[in-house]
Amino acid sequence: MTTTARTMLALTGLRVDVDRHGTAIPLVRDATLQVRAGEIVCLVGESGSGKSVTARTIMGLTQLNPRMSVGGSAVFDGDELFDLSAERMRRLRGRELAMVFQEPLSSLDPVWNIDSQLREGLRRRERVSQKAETGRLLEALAEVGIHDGSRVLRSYPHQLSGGMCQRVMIAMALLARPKLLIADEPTTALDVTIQAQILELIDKLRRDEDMSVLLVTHDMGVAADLADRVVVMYAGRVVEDASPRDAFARSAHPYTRGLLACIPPMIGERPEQLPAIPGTVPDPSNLPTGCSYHPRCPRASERCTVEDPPLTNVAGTAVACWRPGDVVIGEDELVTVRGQAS
Amino acid sequence: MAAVDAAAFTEVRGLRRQLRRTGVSVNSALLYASLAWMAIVALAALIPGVLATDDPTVLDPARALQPPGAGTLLGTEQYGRSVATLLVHGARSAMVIGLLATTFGMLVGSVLGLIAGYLGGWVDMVIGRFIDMLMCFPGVLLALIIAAALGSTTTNLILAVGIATVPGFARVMRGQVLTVRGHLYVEAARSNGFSPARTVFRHILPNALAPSVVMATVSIGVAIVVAASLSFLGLGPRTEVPDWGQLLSLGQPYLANSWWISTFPGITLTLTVIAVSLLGDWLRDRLDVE
Repeated sequence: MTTTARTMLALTGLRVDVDRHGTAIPLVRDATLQVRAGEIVCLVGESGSGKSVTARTIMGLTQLNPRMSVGGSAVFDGDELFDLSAERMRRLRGRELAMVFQEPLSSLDPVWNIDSQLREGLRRRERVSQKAETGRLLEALAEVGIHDGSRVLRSYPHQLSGGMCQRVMIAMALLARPKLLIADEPTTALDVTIQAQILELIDKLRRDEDMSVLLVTHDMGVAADLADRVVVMYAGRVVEDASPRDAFARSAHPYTRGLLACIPPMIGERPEQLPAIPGTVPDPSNLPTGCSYHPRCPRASERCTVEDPPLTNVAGTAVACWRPGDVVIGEDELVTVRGQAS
Repeated sequence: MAAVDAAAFTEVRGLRRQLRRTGVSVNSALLYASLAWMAIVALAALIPGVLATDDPTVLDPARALQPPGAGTLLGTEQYGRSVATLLVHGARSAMVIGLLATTFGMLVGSVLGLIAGYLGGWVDMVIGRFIDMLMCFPGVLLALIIAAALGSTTTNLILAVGIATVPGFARVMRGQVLTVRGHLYVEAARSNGFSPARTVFRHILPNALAPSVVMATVSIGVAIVVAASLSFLGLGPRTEVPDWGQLLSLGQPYLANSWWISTFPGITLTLTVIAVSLLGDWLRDRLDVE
């Protein structure tokens, strides 16, 4: 859609290894994706697929752990993040880059009230009078739908609900007026009704502020609702990068298809048993040969067990599969609509 | 023996029942008793004149070695000074050394633990080995060595006792920092771009402090006992008025005939340490530490 907008974030061949007793275990092997200005990109995949690690690596948080090593490239607004000094990186965080975490209740420090935590964040950005600061805080809280701001400011995290805490976290991220917001499963710990509100809020702020968002989620429904672009990760790799329309209606990768098949239908007859992808995400220390999805893939061929498919562009969709195309899982007859990659 | 125990047990149970009937639990009764005792000790330390009107520096050989009773509440020592008066005037030295030594130990130990826990790696190794080295010596022995090496002044006594409490504080703080460092709000603080110093002092330290505070209360009691032990052994400051440890040793040669000179300082020390520990337990429960 917004193909003319400039690229805010470009990951190319991102690699993250963790050192476990001397052996490097790949948590992210080849993550390549772009987020353009004002765009929401949804990063989807099962637990353990490397989505959160990818998000935290962009923030420079993974690198704080001496056992982690990072390779590849992450260009943010023209700057190569991995070449920046720790100090420059620190300055970017909380100003141009902001992050919202999965567990709102534990993301806030229990010993300080909301007022001092938000104020602390605001002071990173700018220095104004105490009174103006309070005004800005109330404004930010109102923006995220908290209208009794002065009460919330006086509260401590344990006195607030999870939804409230998440709003506070988003308000804190937004006080920074970031160019890119990274939200790591921001609604997973919340009630369904609150989930919708928080997501709507992120979407609205994205439009109002022209902010880019990288939304990590395992909820395909969320991705379908909000995303300008859907990036599917599996076992530390990006396996498909498509517009939501393509991803859902004509998913090229069998894994994306599998994920979609697992969503219970909202209308019509419910199946006796929900379909599930057989097996589990492979252990990163013991990856299968060839395409890491082949042991679970209904369409795996001889070639898939030997050679890992590269991420290849086909008609606006990038896919890493030797036999991509439109298929219905479970059918013996494979209907290939789009041409084969490479 | 067993019969005595059983009798004592029934008696304690009876007392408990009685207290429960009056709506006071044994725990809170002990707590109030501890508070009252510490209030008396604190008063003695701050304004001894209120509790003991006679001058502890005036020697009166005519009144030497009088037993507790009519003339003096707790008897007199060999120079004719009232044991009660000396105990009141010795409170200040005990409290000052107990508090300052603990403060010193807590500050130094916590800073070491904080640095070791936060930085990890070789810094942690070096600090860890240093702490292990200190821990090789029993607290009293370590304080004894330091006091003997530095010379007997109040400041050196505080340092000696304080250093003996450093390892405990360092270990507790290091362990807490390792726990707190892994919390999401610390990562969130980093993702907000706060400097390491800010993250440590605003978000890690306050969350890691509670166990050290509880430990400090217990440590005050230990420090008082260690300081008294050093005084008893003659490593305390030379002052006109003996502190509790010196009073204990003053009475030692007369133990057979004039038991009160040593006994009352001993009881005073014991009560003070128990009271401090009970207050520490109460604080631990209030702060909800393990």
